[in-house]
Amino acid sequence: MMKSVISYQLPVISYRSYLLLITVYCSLFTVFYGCASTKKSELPKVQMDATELNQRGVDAVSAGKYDKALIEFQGSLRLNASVDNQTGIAINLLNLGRLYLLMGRFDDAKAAFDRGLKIGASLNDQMVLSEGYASLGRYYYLIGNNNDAVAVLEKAVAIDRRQGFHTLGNRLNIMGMVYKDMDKAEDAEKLFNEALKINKSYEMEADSADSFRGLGDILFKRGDYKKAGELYENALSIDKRLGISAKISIDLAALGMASLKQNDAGKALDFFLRAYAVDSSRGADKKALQDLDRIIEIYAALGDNNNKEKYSLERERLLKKERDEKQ
Amino acid sequence: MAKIEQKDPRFKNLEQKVGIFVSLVMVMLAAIFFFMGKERGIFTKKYHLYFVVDSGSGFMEGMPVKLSGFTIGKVKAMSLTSEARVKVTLEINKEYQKWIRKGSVARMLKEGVIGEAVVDVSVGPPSGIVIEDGGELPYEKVMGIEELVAKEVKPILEQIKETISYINNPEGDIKKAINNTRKLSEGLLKTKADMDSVLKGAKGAVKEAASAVGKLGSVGDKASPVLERLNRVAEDAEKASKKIPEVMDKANRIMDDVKEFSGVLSKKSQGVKTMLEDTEEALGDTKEIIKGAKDTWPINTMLPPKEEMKLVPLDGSEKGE
Repeated sequence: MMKSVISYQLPVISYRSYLLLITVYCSLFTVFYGCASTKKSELPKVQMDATELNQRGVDAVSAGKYDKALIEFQGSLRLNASVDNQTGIAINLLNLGRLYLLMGRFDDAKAAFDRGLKIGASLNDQMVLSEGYASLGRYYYLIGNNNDAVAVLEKAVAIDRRQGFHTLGNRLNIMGMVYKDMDKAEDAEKLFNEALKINKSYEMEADSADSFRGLGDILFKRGDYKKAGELYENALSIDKRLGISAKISIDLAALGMASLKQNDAGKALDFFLRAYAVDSSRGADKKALQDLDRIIEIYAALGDNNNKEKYSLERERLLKKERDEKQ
Repeated sequence: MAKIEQKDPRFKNLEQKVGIFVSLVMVMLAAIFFFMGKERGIFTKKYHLYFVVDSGSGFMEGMPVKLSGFTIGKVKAMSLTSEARVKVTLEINKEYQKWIRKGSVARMLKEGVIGEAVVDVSVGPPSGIVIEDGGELPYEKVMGIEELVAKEVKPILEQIKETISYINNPEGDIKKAINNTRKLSEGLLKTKADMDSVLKGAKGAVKEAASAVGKLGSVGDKASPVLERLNRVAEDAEKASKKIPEVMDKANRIMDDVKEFSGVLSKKSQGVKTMLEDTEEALGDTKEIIKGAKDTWPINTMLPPKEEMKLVPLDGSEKGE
């Protein structure tokens, strides 16, 4: 019997071709795997659009573009209202309120917070309630109604403690600010210390910087300028890492004041010049004017008339700009 | 007991065979890494340049740097300066250094509508000095498509919309002018009829006065120049009355012209309206395409995850600005 022999001959492929083939197979596998594992969005389209607009608003606020943020939040609110997304509406209202606070439209802010809180209460949404009370607390603090501020902030703190929300440190910071405003330095210090501990443990960096700054303010009031300066430095390093210009400028100005109190005019001047550079770069003219006042004072005290004149002219230019804008 | 290599000749020199095999694999791996590294430019000499921008938004570490559309490096690092501006450091292949001279400018561009953002460096003038390692490049801000649409196209579209609604507004000046002309024309017709009847009366009165003058004799002699003057006035009034239809005709023609003009505008505005609707639709489609692309793998993995609705951080600092 004849033995049948089947001989296989592998196609002759170069080494580079093998590599290429493997690469192609791997790529195809990756693509198929990726496509198969792509998670489909679970939210309805309108809600997704509303979320996107809301996010744009949040981004616009952090960029200081308040008019743009207002349009985005209102758009998001309309979309959420069109699908009766109550939680979304409440968040939009709180965002609008916070934006109004930044724009100095306090009455509008109050109305938005009240509406947001009403929805939060009807949904029994603890997060919305906590955020709403805290926002209202900030509102009362800004208009100088400290008693009401404490009352609503206590509600926010109670919710956060009960629910274990990471925002607790933020509420304690605001409450600390209110107590500081009421000349209750010891109570404020306790709150800032607790806030700092909580913010550190939850890695809430921006809030930690606020706690450091708050503690710095308490020590500044007590006349411990050196220690206050150290705390401001801590706040500054965090704010710089996070790139929050508004807070960087506050920290620099606070450091300038602490240096002035320690009779270090040169260092103070450096801090105020830096604060001025930050404020003028971000278009915060009011704050830049405050920085300029200090700079001019220091140059006058140092007898540097050239620079005093230079910054006085800059101050005049900013004041004129402000007048023109008002007209 | 016989060793396995004595039983099966395939196991002869097994150690050498394994050694050769492992060495070959190692060499292959090394070669692959070498080629990949070469491809990625790991062995290429590099140097650094930087530029400073007001905001770091849009920039990312690893973002490609291009010269004449050709990748020549990447964004190496970003850091905040003491003035709170952003320093962007570029890592560029040394071989392209000769093209980046004084006069070269860095810009951030987007490759197409949904393309990735790149840092584009322009070729410097031949007379310029080559910028050395660690040197600074000037940065020029370029408006993106979204900004361009927002800044340039939107105001124009708004103005066109406003113009159309102004023309179509029943309370607007154009519609009011047409109505007023119509009313004026109707008024003129009535006036003509009134004038005709007045003239008829005047003519009769003149005739009666003439016969009365004839009867009066000498008194009539004194009154006759007055009557002649009255007669002339009546004739002038008659002539003027004859001209009224002509004037009215002209007014009617003007009104027709205005109507025609308004009709043309209305038709044209329909065209512009259609064009605006088409533009809006096209923009909507583009938005949908971009959204679709954003939701598709692998682009969705490159974008920040879509999260729940976020809140504006509540400021916990002192009363400020």
